[in-house]
Amino acid sequence: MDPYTDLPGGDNFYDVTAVFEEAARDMQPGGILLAKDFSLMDAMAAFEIGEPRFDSGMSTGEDATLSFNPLTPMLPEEICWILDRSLACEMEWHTGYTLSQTVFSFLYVHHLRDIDPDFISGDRAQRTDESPRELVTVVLRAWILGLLKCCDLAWREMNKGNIFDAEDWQSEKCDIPIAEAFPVKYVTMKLDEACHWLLSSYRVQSPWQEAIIHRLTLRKTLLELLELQLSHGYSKLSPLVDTARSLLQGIRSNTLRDPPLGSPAYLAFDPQFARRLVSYVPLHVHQLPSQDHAWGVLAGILDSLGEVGSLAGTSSISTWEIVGHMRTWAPLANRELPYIRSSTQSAFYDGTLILDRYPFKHILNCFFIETIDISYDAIAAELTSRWTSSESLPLAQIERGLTQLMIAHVKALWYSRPRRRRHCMKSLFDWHELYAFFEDIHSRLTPKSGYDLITHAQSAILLHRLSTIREVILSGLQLSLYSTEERVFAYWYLAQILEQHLACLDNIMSSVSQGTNVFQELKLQSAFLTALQLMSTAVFSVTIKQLSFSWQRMRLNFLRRYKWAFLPEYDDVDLPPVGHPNFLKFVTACAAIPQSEHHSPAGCVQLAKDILLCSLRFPPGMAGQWGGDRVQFIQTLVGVCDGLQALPATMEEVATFDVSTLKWDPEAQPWFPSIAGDLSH
Amino acid sequence: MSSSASPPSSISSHSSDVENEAASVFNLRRLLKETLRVFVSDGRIFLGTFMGTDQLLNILLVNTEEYRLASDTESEPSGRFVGQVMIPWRLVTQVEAPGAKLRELGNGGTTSENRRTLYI
Repeated sequence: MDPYTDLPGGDNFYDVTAVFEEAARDMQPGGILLAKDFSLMDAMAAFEIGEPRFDSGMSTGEDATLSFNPLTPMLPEEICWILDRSLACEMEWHTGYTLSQTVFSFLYVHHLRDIDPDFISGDRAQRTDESPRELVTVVLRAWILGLLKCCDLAWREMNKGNIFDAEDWQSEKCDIPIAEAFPVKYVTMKLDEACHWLLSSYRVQSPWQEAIIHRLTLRKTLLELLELQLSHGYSKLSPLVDTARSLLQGIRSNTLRDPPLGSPAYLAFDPQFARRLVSYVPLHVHQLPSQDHAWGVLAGILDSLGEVGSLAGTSSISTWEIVGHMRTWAPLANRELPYIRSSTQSAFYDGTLILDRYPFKHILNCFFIETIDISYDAIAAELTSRWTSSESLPLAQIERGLTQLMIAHVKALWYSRPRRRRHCMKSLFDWHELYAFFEDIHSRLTPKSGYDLITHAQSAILLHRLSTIREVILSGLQLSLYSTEERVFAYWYLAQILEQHLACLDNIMSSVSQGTNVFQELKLQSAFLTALQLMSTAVFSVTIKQLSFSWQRMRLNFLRRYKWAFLPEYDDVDLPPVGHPNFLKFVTACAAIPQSEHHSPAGCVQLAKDILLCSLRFPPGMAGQWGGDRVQFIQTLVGVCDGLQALPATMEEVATFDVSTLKWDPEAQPWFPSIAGDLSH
Repeated sequence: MSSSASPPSSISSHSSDVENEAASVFNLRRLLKETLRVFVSDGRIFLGTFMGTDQLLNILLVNTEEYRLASDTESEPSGRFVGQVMIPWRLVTQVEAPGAKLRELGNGGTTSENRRTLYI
């Protein structure tokens, strides 16, 4: 269509406005005219033009796009500012906004062809010594290609299915190409050419020459990093991350001033541009955050990619679990970005091999060796030698079931928190089914007195199921899901689950050689969970005062909140599930604990603190290089204990204790409250 | 209205209603499932298949493309698919139908040739 001579649809259209107006006069009030097979219900699905909530193309009266000319000459400092702000757009997409709100509001993205030096005649752009045309056509164009290619590579990673579109990230490209057709090598060559032009041109002087070159080199490094991640080159990530970090540090140390008002650089961004793109629901205009915030997000991506590289080189599944738990329990700023959560899951399992080098059996070996210090081969040999049934031993079924459960379990550690909680709840039945299946096999083995390796193997499965229940309860606290009454139950139930968990741990530890890494890990877990149990019991015994509902209402609430424990599938398994919540026991506990003369909430917290302090001296167990993160988390819990020192010393004092001083803030501590006004916390 | 023109099969035909309705409404009914070009007050043009309206003249279009007139610097046509839309009459500045249909209605009108001059 030529906008100057033709209207869309062509010339063969005639004005029928009068036909509408005459028909409206003759129609009955409330009358409606619809085409055959088109119902009023179909009509309801239409977007109303002129309604700001639905009309994504509605004019807002401001149209920066109209005054934007991609070939406007720019000063080096303006180019430098544009590079930074376009990176801020990219980072905002990484944090979860749509491309149309962020990267596509950078107008040069839509004018790549217009600034292609091969298609520009000499007289179309003004040349001045201060604003050489090449700054736009060579330097800026190379940067945009690099930026779009980075988005494309990240898009490909996030589109693998590890994370969820429209929930974790926004995949919508609005029919705008993001350099999909350009090979990475071509883009890096363009970035090199831009650097070469800057180095050889007398028209861009220091310090802008270095500033722009540093940014182009950073873009090139990012491009290489994202490509390496996508092609599983994890071992080479670390040096590239170091290079990118050092470039970023240099760039951040020299803060740029914004261009003066009226600078053409401002026209390069139009936050309203989304209304011109194909999108069905209008999105609010997103204001870009400060440049320092954008650099912070980029630093988070780099640190996380470094961690992905380190994790990919870690064969221990327990270490993966520990890191996943640490990142969930104590999230770090800019470390939970969807791209990183997807990359981490890809590094663990990308559909073919575990950690890109091990067969599935690695999962089985790690599961048993790292939990009970017995190899899977030894368990399989024991099962085979003691199998008495005429049917064949269903080893393949055990292997398949356990492998699938563990792969999903580890990957779920990098899901978003609500989805991870749902995953844990759903997986509980699968863990129980596997546990019951193992029990069935056990019943068909030759009986053995004394140490039974198979009993311990079964305990390993139970241990994982109990820790999954623990995560369901803890994630509910972290997500602030529970009402005041539900919270009381949650703390009581947590203490109950931890009791069974600790019993299971004791059982396993009795057969593991002291001094081994596995024993150290079990010992540390035992101490940590004991402290957690004491703290839960203390908070339960104090918050019990907050129960205001009738037991009947509490029970209905309980059945809804813990519906995962009452799935009909459990009835199909003969073995009753271990560790399921029991409302009657809770009622009994609520009646008994206020009468207890020996229970001291403050004493429990003090004991928990002592145990935690003691555990800080333990070897790192299976945490590997992440031992420091775990120590830091335990120290935070010690701080929580300090903050709860003012809890009542006896149950008599609980009666006069002001429970409203307990404040929950998941941002500060995911599970436990602090006492308002307490300075020690 | 041409005597040879009969309601297209695609049009909703509650025969008794159709027989009793005013000629003006019948004329409008004959535009159903035709491509309309609707101009709105903020400068946009919608090109879509007319599926219905009501007495307040809220116009329902399906398979609609939205166009805005290109700026000086844009070389590409600025159209996009917006699907099913409802355009309130208060925003409509003009509605156009294909010439062949208009001749069937026996209604003269301003061609888009005349209107086009507004945009040159």
